[in-house]
This record gives sequence, structure tokens and C-alpha cells, in this order.
Amino acid sequence: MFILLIVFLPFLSVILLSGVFSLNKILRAIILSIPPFLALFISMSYLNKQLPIFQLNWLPTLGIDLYFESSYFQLLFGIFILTIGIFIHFFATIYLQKDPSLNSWFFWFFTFMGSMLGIVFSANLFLLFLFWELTSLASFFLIGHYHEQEEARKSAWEALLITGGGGLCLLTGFIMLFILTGTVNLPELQDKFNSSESSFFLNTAVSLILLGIMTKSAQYPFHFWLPDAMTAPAPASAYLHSATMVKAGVFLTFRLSPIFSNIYLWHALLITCGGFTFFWGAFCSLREDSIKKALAYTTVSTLGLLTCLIGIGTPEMIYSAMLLLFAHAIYKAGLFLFAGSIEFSTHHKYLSKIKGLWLKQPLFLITALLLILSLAGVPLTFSFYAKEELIHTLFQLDSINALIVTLLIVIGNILLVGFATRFLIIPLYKNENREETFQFNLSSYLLITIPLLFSLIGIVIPLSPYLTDIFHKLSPELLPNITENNYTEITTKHNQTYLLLLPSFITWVAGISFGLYFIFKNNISKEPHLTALATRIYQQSINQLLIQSDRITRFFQNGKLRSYLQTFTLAVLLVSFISVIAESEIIQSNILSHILHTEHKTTTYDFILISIIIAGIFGVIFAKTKLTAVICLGLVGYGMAVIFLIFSAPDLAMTQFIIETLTVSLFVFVFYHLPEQHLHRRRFTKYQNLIICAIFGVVMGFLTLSASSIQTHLSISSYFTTKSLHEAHGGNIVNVILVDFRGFDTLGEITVLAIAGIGTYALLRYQRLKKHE
Amino acid sequence: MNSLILKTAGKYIAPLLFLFAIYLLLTGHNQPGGGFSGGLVASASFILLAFAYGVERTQNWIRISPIYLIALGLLLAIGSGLFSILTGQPFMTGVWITFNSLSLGTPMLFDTGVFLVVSGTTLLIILELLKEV
Repeated sequence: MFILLIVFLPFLSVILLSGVFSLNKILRAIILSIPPFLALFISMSYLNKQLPIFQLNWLPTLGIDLYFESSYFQLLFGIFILTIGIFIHFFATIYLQKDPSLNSWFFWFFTFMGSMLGIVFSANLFLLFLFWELTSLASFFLIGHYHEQEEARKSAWEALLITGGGGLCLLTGFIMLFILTGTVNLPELQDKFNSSESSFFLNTAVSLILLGIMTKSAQYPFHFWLPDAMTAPAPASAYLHSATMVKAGVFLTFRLSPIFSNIYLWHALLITCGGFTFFWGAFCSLREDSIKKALAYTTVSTLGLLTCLIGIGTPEMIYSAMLLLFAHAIYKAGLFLFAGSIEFSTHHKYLSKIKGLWLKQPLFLITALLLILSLAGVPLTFSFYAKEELIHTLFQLDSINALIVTLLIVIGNILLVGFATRFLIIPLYKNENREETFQFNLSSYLLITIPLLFSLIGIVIPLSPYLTDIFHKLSPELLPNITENNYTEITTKHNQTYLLLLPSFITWVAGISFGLYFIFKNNISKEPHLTALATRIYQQSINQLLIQSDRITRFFQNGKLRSYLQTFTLAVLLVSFISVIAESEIIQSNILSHILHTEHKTTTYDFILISIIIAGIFGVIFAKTKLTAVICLGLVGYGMAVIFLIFSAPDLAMTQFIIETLTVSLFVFVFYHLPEQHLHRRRFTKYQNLIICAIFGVVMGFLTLSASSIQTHLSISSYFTTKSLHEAHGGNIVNVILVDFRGFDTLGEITVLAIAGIGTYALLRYQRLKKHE
Repeated sequence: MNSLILKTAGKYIAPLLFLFAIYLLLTGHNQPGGGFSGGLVASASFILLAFAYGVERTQNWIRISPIYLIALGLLLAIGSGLFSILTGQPFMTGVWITFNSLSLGTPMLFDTGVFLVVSGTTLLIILELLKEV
């Protein structure tokens, strides 16, 4: 039950939001943060204990269960989401204080928080997918918050289309897994996969799931949405990058890696894609001038590294990947909030524009220094600790894979350190045009405290034994063989081996010189062309989609009712024609037997009725005015109603009568709206219409005749007649079927009716109001 | 349209039609009729009034906007299905109370929902069309 609370408490904030609408900002911020605080409290108090699972069957036939579970790692991740979320919430209250649509931002922010927690604690893949899509949706609104700007709208669409498209692949992959194993509950899935062989079907499922993961966590070539999403307000970017959204993909990889550990494709794709993304992201960050975009590229890079490490998949690797993930969450949240406070105070987004800032504001310099040291992985920071852990395990692995990965990490880190150098040094320059001075007020100092706090956390963690212990406890889950004592022994030993620091020294020296080189070279505006290529492919396909659908729409929706009707008739003809041909033999024999063995005796009434109907039809065709045609059409309808009556279907007959009456009046009014048009057309059109109508009539006639005599299943009419009076208390079987036996169908029908009615109303009203203007 | 014959006839026929619609709805479970045809007849009675007296006066007689009728009808139809959940049966199972020979059940509520949706939709569209004339 508690686990359910953790997931749904942030949604309580969403509901609370409407209640605290008018309160003062500080009070509102405090009230809104209460539910996440409660959730945080619950998850912290259960961190060292076992939190009971929550399982409730939802749609068991489809494998969808409301199933939440928690491990130590999941709880710790949840705590990160909540803590960072609460900090960002307070930051955003100050940062967005003048924003008129602040409330809608918080609405999506808390939705986002809750759905991310849902992803973390779901043990059922379909449930996880539900939350997964919810994060995509929420991020769309968070990214597109400044929707007056075209760029923001564009990047929000980009994020939604890419992660949403990936989400569809993910769902397909999950469904394939469900078909293969019959379950998508993670604990059960694990047992099923221990023995199974990899097949083509399974490989397809795995690659589809990977596609979903790679789009979400911005791996090359889908990475470009993340830097573009920097049009979002800084707190949104901070949350997206640190603990949520992109980490959802990485998190899912964590969850699935024990299940897919036997599948070669899983490892191969993750390692190659992640490795390249790591390198490429770092490279791009080095050349980017926009602060937030550059930071986004470093995120892309770290995500690549994480993916790659999980791809290698040994428990030690996964452990160090977890450490890196948490370290990254802390300093990246700090960095983005820092970028946000720079933007808030100076109104500049570019590194080259904030020259001189560090010298004027020492507080900014200190924060920048601490955060950037974390990014570069300098000793004493948590990320240094995580990175050393990683290099240490890599040295122990002693395989060709490990060597390649070490090399990759060294290169990637050189580039990241290069970025760090640029980030620190450029704002140290003197500003050339002195007219501009940065404005600082109380709000900007309040804002800077939060990133400062994050930077301090990054440094405190490795210093405090209690805090490091929290992260050490991740390992017993993964490495049951290593006992606590043994483990500390290893870490102390590794601290004494200075040789292990060698890769780090190489990265620092090379990185700083790289950074200096790029500062002096000073041409950084151009987007690196591999990224530009991915962006161009995306944009071209979107443009083509729009152009082609526009073309198709214009062809079919040409505004002529006549051609709509023609298209519709021809389409129905085609479909029914195929079925008539496919079943031609059965239909032939059925029709023959139908005509020969009919129970109904033809009377004179029938002849009179049919001749009235036929006369009506000819009346419609040869009518001089539209009104006459409509009245003749009514005649056909009333004739049909009388036929229903003769064949003892009073309900149908009555409805037909009323419908006919209403239709005739409707027609009259619709004609009032239609442009005046002559009924006589060119001879060619007439013949064309005649042919289409004749074929349509013949095919429909055949279908009706055959449909009434084909019976593939047992008749259920006897069931209805026997049960109707006793169980449903109704003498009118037609009505009992409508409202009771088949009530659900009727519910659907009236819903469709209501939607169609409201749609028609909206169109008519729009036309009327437009005319009045 | 301004016809004295239509106005006078409408004055007497429309209430009768509406009464007939209610009759159809109530007896529909045992005799020909039901929510669907009842709803159509009910809307026909108001459309007759609209022909005779104009849209605005008709709308005043109906009092509530047809769009609310639709919403109310849908809510009623869905709500009637929820009764069975309270008794532990699947959604939309009929729940019945019997007094002597009279049985009352949730399908009746459902049928009323159908009645409201059908009459609401028909009125919504036709009255909007009539506004133009």
C-alpha cells in the first residue's frame, strides 16, 4: 500500500494545485511540496527494509496488472527523483515568478514526477509503458512551455514525436514479449528467460524495445531532440536531464538487463550505440556556445556511457553505472539550475555573452567551479569516486572489451574536461563592451543557493561514511559474493594504487589543453555535421509527411459532396466485391435455396408496396426540383417501413417511420444551406453515375441475400427468447437486447451518436457565427 | 414559417406527441417502443413546435440546452451500469427490484439515458439548422 502512496502522492499535488490557485506564492510552494515530502519520507523510512509489493489484477487477459515492487535501487532512485524534484520545485517558484502560466507548468511538473515514479516502481511492463507515455506527454508540455515562440513549439513536437514514436516501438516489443512468454511481470519474466533460446522473434522484440529506450534516453542518432529541447524553462531541463525522462530509458535498461543477459543482440547494440553516443555527445559539447545546449550534449554523452556500461552487463559494470547515474543526477541538476540562474540574472544564454561574470560575482564562480569539478570528475567529488570505481572494475576485468571501454572513457572524458575548461575560462575574460552590467537582486541570490547546494552535496557524499554507505548498499543486490568487509578492503587497496589514477591524470592534462585550444580557435557556432545530418533526416521526413498528407487530403477532400459520395461508394464496392468473389460458390447455392424455399407467400399487398417503392425511386431520379426528389425519397422510406411491419418487426417499422419523417425535414434544411445547382448534368456523368449505382445495387443485393442465409455459428435467438422474460423482465425482446443483453454495444452507439451530434453542431455553429461576422 | 394552421395544430399535437414519447419509453421493455424511438418522437414534437413558433421560443420551452441533455443521458447510461459493480457483478449487469408484479431495474435508467442522448442529438442538430432559416 505504501508503494502505491509513493507513486500517487505527486499526483495529489496536481489536484492540490487547483485549490491553492489564489494563495501567495511562498505558501503555495510549501503546500504543493507537502505530498512529495511525504512520499520522500515513506521511501526513506523503507530504504533499509523490505517494502511490500502491491499487486492487483487489472486486465488479466491482456497481462496488465497494477503491480508495483521495490528493490533498494528502485527506492534510492525514487528518493533521487523526489529530492531533486522538490528542490527544482522551489527553484521554479522563484525562476518562473513572473510567468502568467505558472500553474500549467506546475501541473505538468508534478504529473511528470508522479509518472516517473510510476516507471521506477512498476513491475508490469504494460503498466510501465503507461507511465512511460505519460512522461513523454508531460515533457511535451514542459518543453513547449513558452509556446508563443515557434522554436519552443517545434522542439516540443520533436521531443514528442521521437520519444512517442519510440514508445510505440517499445509497446510493440512488450506485446511480442507477452506473446512469447505469456507474462510481462518482471519477476516472472526473469524466470522464464533463464532457459529460453534466442530466436528471430525474440531478437525483433529486443530491438524494438531498444529502439524505445534509445529514443527516450537520446542515443545517437535520436539524440538531437535533447539539445533542441533546451527551449524549455531551465528548471524543466534540469529535471528532464538529472533524474527523469532521459534516465527513464537508462532505468529500463537496468531493469531489463538481467532478463536479456543471454541475448547477444542486446549487448551488441547497447555497447556500440552507447559508446558512440558517449564520444559524440562530448565532442559536440566542446563546440557549442549556448550554455544549456552544451550541457545537454554532456548529458547525451553521459547517457551513452551509462548505456554502454549496462550493455557490457557484468554486475560490477552495472554497479558502477548505478553510481555514475546518481553522481550525474546530482551535478547535472545543479548545472542546469546554475545555467537557469545565469539566464535569470543576466538574460544571456551564451557563454561568449557572459564574459566577466565570474569576476563580478564570486558566488557564481564558486558554484561553477564546484559543479564543473564534479562534471570533470576531479578528486573529492562524488563523480570522481564513481569514475574511479568504474576504472577500477575495468582494470580487474582484464579483457579486450574492458580495454576498449577504458580507451573510450579516456577519450570521452578528455572531451568533457575540455568542455569544463571552456565553461570555466570564458566567463573569466574581461567583457569588451562595458555598457552592459549584470543586474542582481534578491531573487538571483536565492536562485543561486539551490545549485550551490547541489554542488556541495556532490562533494559531501564521498566525505561522509554514512552517505557513501548508502551507495555501497547497492552492491549486495548485484554482487552477492562479495561481503562487506571484503569490499571495503578492495576499495582501500585501490585508493593506494596510484597507478589507477593514471587514466584520470591523462584525461585532465589532455582535456585542459583541448579546452584551451578550442577557446583560442574560437569558431564554434556550426553544428557538427553528424548531428546536423540526423536533424535533417528528421526534418525532411516530417516535411514530406506534411506535404504528402496535404496532397492526399486535397485529392479526397475536394469540397464536392458528389465526389465524396462517389469515393465512399466505390470503396465499399471494392471491399464487398472481393468478398462476393471469394465466397461466390456458397453465395450462389444460398441464393438459389433462398428463392426456392422461401416461407413467405407473396400477396397483392407486396406487389402494391413494391410498385410504390419503385415509383418512388423513379421519382427521385427524374424529379425536376430537389424538394420533389426528397419527398419521393421519403416515399421509398415509408414503403420500407411498411415492409418491416408486414414481416412483423413493429419496433423497426416505427423507428423507420420516425427517422424517415425527421430525415425529410433535415434534408429540406440541409438543401437550404447547399448552393443552388442544376440537377441535370452532362450526359457522361449521368452514365457514369448510372453504372456505379447499378453495380452497387446488384452487389448489395447479392450480399444481403447471401448474408441472410449464411450461418457459421449456432443461432442465439432462442437464447434471447427464453431468457428475455425471466431474467431481464422484458416482453419486447428487441428492447431487452438493446438495453440489457447487448447494453454495452448500445452504450458505445449512443456515445458515437453524441460525438457525431456535437461535431455537427460545432461545424454548423462555426459556419453561422462566421457568416454573422 | 408563419402559418396559423401549423401553429394551432402544433399547440395540440406537440404535447400529445411528447406524451406518446414518454409512453414509448416506459412501455418499451414489453411492447414496441423503447428509448431510441421514444427519443426520436420526443425530438419530433419539439421540432414541430420549432416549425410553428420558431427556434427561440422552442428553446425557451425546452429550458435546458440539448447539449446538456446529451451529457445527462450519457452519464445516466454509464451510471446505470455502475449499480451492478456495487453488488459485485460485472459492469452493466441488470439490477432489479420487484414489487408484486412490477419490476424496476437499471435497464430502465439506461433506456432513459438512450432517450436523452437521442432526443438531445436530434434537437441539437435540427435546431441549429433551423436557426439559419
